[in-house]
Amino acid sequence: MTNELRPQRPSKPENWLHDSAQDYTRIFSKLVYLGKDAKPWAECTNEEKEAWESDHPQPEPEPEPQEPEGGEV
Amino acid sequence: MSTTIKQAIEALKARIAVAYTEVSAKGGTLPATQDSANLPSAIASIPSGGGGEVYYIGNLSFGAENGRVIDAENIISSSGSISDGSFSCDKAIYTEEILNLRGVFRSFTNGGSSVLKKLYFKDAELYGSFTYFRASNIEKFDFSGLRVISANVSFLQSGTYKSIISFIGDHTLQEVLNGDIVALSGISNSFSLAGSNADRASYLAIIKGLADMTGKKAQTFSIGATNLAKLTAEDIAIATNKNWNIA
Repeated sequence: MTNELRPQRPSKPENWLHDSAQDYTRIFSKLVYLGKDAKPWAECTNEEKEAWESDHPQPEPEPEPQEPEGGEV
Repeated sequence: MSTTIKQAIEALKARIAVAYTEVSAKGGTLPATQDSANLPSAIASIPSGGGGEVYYIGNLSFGAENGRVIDAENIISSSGSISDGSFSCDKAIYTEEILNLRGVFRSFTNGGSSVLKKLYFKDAELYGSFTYFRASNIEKFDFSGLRVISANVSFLQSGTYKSIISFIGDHTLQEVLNGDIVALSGISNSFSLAGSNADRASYLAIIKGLADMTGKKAQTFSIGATNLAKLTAEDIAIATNKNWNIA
């Protein structure tokens, strides 16, 4: 079972691997163990990672209701 | 001699009666016939969260005894999320047989004055829940009874949750290795717990619960390098053999 593991690391230590998840979420990692049918992840520089994150800020949570302290429990 | 045996039997009966009393007090289910044969199943019915305590949140009741909420979707609207200001307790939440919850704990923020420490679920199905969950002082989740039926789960997506040390409550690694429990069973979309700091048993329980994505687009369970190092090659292979990436 273990010999089926397919670890992938970036070609340079400073680079990142990335893959897109749901919506416009992108996962960045220095190490990924690929699923048996998965294609290798793309690679990018740290600058490219930061630029992508700047262009795609995490969506903010929905506004939370303002409840009184020690409210309904 | 026969008197001694009779006395022993009577004493045994008395102890069995006491045991059933304790089972009931702890939220267990009492059988119609309360004899020694039925005692193991009665003990097994005691909820792991301790039971007996009931918390009411909106029109949703939590509790071992009367927390039976069926088809309760939309009980918490998008504007009625459980948040820091509306929720505070110093004990665990224990839920039982709560089905089809939607939006529960969406945008939940646990910090500041809140002292919630544990969340327990048993036989529950949730979707659209725990999105944008942020927990600064929760220590233990017990997701071993939780089935995820959503294709859009983003547990702990943007949270601060390094305080969490377990996603399987007080269950043990041995239970996970034995296959007695899994956690968050049925997830079929990428999600991240990379900001958590739980143990191997927790991540392995989740891996064992991942949906089989063979023949479908590979999904990613992201836990971060530190947590990844807690897993063995065999643990990781369980996920990759189901076409999940582990990052």
